[in-house]
Amino acid sequence: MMKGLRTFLYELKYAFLQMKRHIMLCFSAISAIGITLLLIGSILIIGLHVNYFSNDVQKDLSIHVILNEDIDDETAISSIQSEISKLKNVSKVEVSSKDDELELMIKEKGDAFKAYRGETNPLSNAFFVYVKNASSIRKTSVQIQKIDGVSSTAFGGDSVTSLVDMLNMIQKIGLGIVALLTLLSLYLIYNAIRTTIDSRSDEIIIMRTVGATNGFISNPFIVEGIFIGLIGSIIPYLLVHFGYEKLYESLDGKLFTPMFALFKPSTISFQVGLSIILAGALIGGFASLFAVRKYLKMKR
Amino acid sequence: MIDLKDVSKAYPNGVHALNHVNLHIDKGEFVYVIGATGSGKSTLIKVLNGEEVPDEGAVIVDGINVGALKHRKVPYYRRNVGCVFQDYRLLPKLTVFENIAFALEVVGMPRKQIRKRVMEVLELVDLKEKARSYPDELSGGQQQRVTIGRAIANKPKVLIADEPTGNLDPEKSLEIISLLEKINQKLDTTIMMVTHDKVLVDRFKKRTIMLDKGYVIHDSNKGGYKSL
Repeated sequence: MMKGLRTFLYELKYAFLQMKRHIMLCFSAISAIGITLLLIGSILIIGLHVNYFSNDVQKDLSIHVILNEDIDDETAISSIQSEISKLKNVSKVEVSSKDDELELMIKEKGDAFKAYRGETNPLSNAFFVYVKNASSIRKTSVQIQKIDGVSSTAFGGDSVTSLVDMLNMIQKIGLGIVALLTLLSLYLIYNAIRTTIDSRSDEIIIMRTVGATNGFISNPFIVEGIFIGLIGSIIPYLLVHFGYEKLYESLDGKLFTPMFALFKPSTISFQVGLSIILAGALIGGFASLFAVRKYLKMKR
Repeated sequence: MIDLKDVSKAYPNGVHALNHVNLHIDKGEFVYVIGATGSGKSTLIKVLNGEEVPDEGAVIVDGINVGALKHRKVPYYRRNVGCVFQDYRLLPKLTVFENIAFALEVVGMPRKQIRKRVMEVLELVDLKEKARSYPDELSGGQQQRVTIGRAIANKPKVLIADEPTGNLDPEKSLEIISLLEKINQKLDTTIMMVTHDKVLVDRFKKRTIMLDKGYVIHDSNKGGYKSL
């Protein structure tokens, strides 16, 4: 335990010393990883909302399927129901009988329709079809329309799906950029670590001769990489924390309509912030691990 | 202490650095290894400190089959084998004290014990008053004594010295050899010294092993070049 602590302190000391020696290299690596992490953060924020919106939308969005008037017996209804259920994008089919439909109409349009209760009900039986993916609701609706016995279909929220589509697109482009930037920051950190390894090659040879383990030799470099990543994550974290708070306030907590409520700043600060810091440490750690593996060559 | 049984080692470029070498060195012995450049002396050191694995045969040091050690075990083995080089290999930015302490830091010794041990070692190599000096403030002989101090700090059972007097004038060389003799006698450390220095070998007569083209061509207890 004591020995572990002592070794850890040794590693911290050398990580700092090394970074001081190569301040410019570290600075470029830190900036690269900072920009990368900021983008990762933004994309995470968009992604969280896209997920949230589309789940919300999907929960509420259903296709109202009205059957032909003449379909009135249970076997016919359930055979159409099972046919709809077979469609790929359909998650749930709820039967809404003539009478249910009338009650809905009364609720929506007023008590005047109460007169139609009983034998005089002019409405048809219907389904509420829920979909898995809101953005292809139109396609599903057309498919249902083609089924025999279906009179008409209707769904709302076309604008909703196009917004979700757009956000999805932004997210995909962003992911591509993030992948590239992650590679760039991996490379820059790798380079910074390689330079420190080069500058300490004499020391490494001596360490080997006096019996230092490979872990003992390489850990300070890995600690250094993690440090670069952590330092790089400070500014993006602050930007996300305060930037999102500002955005939330100026949009009044919603995107265009109350239907799209934004996440609370505290949630974003915690979830996205934590991811940024973690991503920074991981990128830094892995970059230096690669460098150490390659340049220290785990020889005897 | 050291046993080489029919050890051969060839490098990928076709050079046969060691050919069927058989050697037995007892605990507490002090031996010279001599031979021209390319005779296999460096490879002999490398198979002893675990840097190279012999192609054939076995290298046994203190009961450990060095060639068969797993990579991650080699560092622990190496703590039992001190090494001294012709070019000192001291860290220029560390003081004498820190250079010796470095070998102990590496193996995770507690700070208090490190202090105590370094002072003991400095006493032994007679550099107490230079503890705070930097290597470039020392003479070659003093630097080599620091290296020897670093090599024995971990109390190794075997000390390998690769041309320790190669860069020193005759007077300083005497200093080094008498220090090595002191370590050999006081600490009962087995010492193998690779050297070119005919004067030393003739003056301080010890068992002398001569290598040529990877073969042991002489192994004489009488010592001295003349006996060969």
